[in-house]
Amino acid sequence: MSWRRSWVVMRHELRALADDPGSLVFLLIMPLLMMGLMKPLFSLSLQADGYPGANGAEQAVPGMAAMFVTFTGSFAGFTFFREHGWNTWDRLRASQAKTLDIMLGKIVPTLLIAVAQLAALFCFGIVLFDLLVAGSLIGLGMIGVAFALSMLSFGMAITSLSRTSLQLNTFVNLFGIVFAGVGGALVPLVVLPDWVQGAARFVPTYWAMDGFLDVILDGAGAREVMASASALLLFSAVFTVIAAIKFRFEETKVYVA
Amino acid sequence: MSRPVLEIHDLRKSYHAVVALDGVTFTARSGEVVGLLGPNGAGKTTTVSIVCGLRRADAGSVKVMGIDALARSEEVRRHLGFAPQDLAIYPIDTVRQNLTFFAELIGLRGALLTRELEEVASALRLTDLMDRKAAELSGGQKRRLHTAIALLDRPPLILLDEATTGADVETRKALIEVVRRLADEGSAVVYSTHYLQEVEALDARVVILDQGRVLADGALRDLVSRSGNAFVELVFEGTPPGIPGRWHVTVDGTRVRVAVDHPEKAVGALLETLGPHKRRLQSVALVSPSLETVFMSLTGRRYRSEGRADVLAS
Repeated sequence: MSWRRSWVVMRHELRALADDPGSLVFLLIMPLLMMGLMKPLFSLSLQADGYPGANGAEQAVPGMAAMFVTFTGSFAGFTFFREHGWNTWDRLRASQAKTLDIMLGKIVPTLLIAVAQLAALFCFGIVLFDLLVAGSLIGLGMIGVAFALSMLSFGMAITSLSRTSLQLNTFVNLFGIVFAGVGGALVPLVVLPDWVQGAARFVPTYWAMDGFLDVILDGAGAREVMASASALLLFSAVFTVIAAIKFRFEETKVYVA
Repeated sequence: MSRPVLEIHDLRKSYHAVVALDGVTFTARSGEVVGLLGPNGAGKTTTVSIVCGLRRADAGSVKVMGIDALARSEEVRRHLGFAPQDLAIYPIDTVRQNLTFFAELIGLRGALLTRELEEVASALRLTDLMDRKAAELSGGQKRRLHTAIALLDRPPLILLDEATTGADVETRKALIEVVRRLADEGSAVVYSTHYLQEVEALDARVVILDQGRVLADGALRDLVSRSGNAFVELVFEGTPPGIPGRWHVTVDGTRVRVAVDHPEKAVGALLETLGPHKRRLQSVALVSPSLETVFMSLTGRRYRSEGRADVLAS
């Protein structure tokens, strides 16, 4: 592989995103609005759960951030469909960029955006919603990066299984909401039925929320969130294997504008 | 004789039960334009796609600059420029950004990249459009940009798949000029098209493909003199009459084609044989030997400019 060629593809993707920033802005503004709406509601439930000083931002900020990062995870997959829509996919494949150069060039910008989105939402959460992080920022960062990676690989797995961009959008949105609901991002896990709490461990969002809440509410450090981060990396590995097995470079995908 | 840049031998490819390539063999040498000609579905795009490494062959061999393209396609891509059949440019990027992106993937940068962009843009009359978004270009300008990308860094092998599809007359003329110049400068150009006139204008070596097979391979003039029989075409009102005598006749609806060596000499005698049926004659055309007549004599079908090949009843 060639780092230089990966960088060329990466820059091209970043420029395309900058050229059409609407989605990025939406994925920042929407969770902020949701945080503002949910904060008072979560304040009561956290206080009832044994955190008397909680103002609700402790659940609202990581919860909404986690839910919206799931949607960002599909950006990389979307770029493949867009290449098909512009007929540039074959041209790119016939260029001197190798398979790995193209993959890295398309995936890394999405990972960077997802991490930046999480960082920005937590920063806004601190400034706008008085979020207090009791534990380690490094631990928070570890969970954030591992979760972004798992959502990116999830987006790629769905991309590999989707024939049209409409399928990709539908499945990512559907799973994004299911993951957020079951994983305790949309509402605190304690208010959900027992069977949902039991199933929660099988979705990555649960481990992200587990890690985030450990750091924010219980003052956990990097060492304490290692298990959650590892679980998220395991999800990433499983999704990556699915993507690697099912992704067909020569397949014609359909871009629905 | 110049060195072979592309060597294709006995190339085979099927899509499930459909045979796309059935033992295609031809070469393209440095400085040569090879017109890969055939109706839609003849196997032109499949051939080009395999050379680029976009499709896998079932059997056969492809060498580019002596390198096995089927086994080492990533290495082979260093030696080729490719313009696919469909317009393949980034509409959100400017002309300059489109060219720069692909030039950087080749490995060009700095002054070399700038010079290459200027040269390619100048050759394809894009210089004044460099900072315009590709989406805002006219159809012909888009087609020129699409082709320009394939010419970056003057690769030894240039594959242009239906380069002029949808292009206006001016763009078509410009592209043909560029193709000839590239060959003069030493590149081997494989120019896939279903337009007979373009191959004639290019004075290319012609490889005629039909139903996945090479029907003919040779210099345009040789093919035309060898198999391009001339004919007289008569169109009748209603069912055509039988043509008495030892003419080689094919009938296509109300059209009758009579193969002759010299249409202008034979037409008089031919009309005499029609007798009273002459009154039903709507038109008479004298068709000189050309690629179209070559295709007809090889396949028994008439070649249509839009790329179809119609069956003639005989």
